[in-house]
Amino acid sequence: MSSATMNTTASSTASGTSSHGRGQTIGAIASEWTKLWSVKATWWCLAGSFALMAVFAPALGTSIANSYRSDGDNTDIPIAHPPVLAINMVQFAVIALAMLAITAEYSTGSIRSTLQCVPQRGRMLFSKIAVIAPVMFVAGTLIAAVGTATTTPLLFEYADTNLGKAVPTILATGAYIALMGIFAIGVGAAMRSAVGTLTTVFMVLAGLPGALALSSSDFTKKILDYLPSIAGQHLMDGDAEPYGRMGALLVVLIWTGAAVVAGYVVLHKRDA
Amino acid sequence: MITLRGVTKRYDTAVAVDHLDLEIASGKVTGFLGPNGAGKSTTMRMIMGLDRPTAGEALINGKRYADLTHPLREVGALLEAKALHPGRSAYSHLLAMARSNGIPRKRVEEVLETVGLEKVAKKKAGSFSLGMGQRLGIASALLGDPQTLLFDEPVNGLDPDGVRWVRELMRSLAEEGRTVFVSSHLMSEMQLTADHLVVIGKGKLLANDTIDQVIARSSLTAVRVRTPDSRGMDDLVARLDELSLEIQRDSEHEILVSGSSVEAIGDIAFQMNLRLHELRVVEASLEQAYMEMTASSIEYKSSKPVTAGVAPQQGQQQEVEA
Repeated sequence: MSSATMNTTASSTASGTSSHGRGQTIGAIASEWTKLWSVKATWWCLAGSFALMAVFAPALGTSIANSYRSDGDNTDIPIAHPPVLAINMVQFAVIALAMLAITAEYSTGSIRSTLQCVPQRGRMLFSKIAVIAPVMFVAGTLIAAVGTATTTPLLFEYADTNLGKAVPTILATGAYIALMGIFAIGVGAAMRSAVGTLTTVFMVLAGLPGALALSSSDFTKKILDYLPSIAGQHLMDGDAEPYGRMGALLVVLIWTGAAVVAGYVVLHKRDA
Repeated sequence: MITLRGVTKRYDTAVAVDHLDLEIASGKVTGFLGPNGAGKSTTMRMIMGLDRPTAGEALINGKRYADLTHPLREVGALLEAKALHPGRSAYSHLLAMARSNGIPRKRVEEVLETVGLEKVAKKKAGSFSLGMGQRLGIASALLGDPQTLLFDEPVNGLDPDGVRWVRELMRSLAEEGRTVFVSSHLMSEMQLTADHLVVIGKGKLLANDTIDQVIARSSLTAVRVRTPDSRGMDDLVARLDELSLEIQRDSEHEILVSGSSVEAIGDIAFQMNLRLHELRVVEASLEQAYMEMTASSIEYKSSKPVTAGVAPQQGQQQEVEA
């Protein structure tokens, strides 16, 4: 085989899109699917996130309704909004699932087995995302639906039961969780250690916005809107301000893309 | 076939593998020896595409690992037995590997049976003993029925029965015409298993020969001469000294000569009219030949040499060397 053809093979298979490579990419995805469902952690994370949502969303819904009642406020609460607020907490249980899909490979050493099966780093990363993203989307959507269902009766007269609002919010929650799952995989591939990944993801999604929210300057408030978790809230709630739902989606996508690129670069450069 | 062309792995300060040129042929078991830190595992990891060589290339059947269409069907490797998720069952671990390379599920059951783990297949791999883990690692290497196999210290943690099983497995894989590349620090095991030896020290190639050649080349392979005539022995020693051979006088009647042959010494004794009661080759063991070869390239040396527990002549022969 000439070196020229070898180079073509190498570059095309790395992106997982070569024609003869389609079967291999499907194999890599099937392998990731098998791995995901054959460890207990996956089930614990999913069960945990449903349980957390079933606790937090009704609690938040009740507290909002109560404060409206005492203030004599007549604003209606979109029924899918309390779950969106609860996502600030619940997301970590779901994202842990995505994080573990990559960091557990490094902490257990199974990454070396994985890379023996699928030596092309790009294809390996892609197959993980291809499995995790849909699972996260379904989980996020179901979690939001469960949160909405458990919260609605507790909002009483304040419930805005417009499904034209609720359904997009629930689906947007699925999309946000899926994107944050991809984000976590990217960060995990770049950092490798579970603790490092958890710390980074937590800082970006909760620590940083928490710290910036303490500031009173308008500038930091503007920055806040460009952090993934805040943009995610705008995306889920469908806020018209500051950049609309599509703008919010774009912000989250940029964060996700950046994390995946970082993960790919590290995978490509560093020894396994 | 595995081909290494000028393979070099350099870290910030140290060179782990230094310009290794090698061809590991099919149809035989090639033993890969070297002291701890010699670069054995790094070399194997580079062949498997896990580590990227700083220079040179490692090829399997002429291709880099990452360019193999279905790598598991061409190369099987046991690098670390515990390169798996402890919470996943042996069966799921192998099934996930099989799926990635389009290997049928039936094959998973086959290899589990081959290594004798079929009864614990659904148990978590993390609960496995060292020996069971090693067997699972071997199962994963065999999964794709590959033509090339790499094993890094495969008998680690196995009981004598398991050791013999691995030895027979390696031999039969080689007899089927496959390329079998096995690293080990157990010289005696290699003597029984390998046809060919590759020895490295501090990342450099020290030997690439058949076992017989490695032993024959050792200065520790010597000729023992015994005579009842102690005065005649003095003369013989003087004569051999002139030929600047290395001589170790064990007693009035006995010497050990290295760097010569029974024929040459027999002729000299005949010319001197010396009666001999013993004239024979004392072969170095593979272990001795190996120790001699790697003496200068041991990375982690113990402060005090420990000589106990080695072959009986070891102590004496070390004096020869000194």
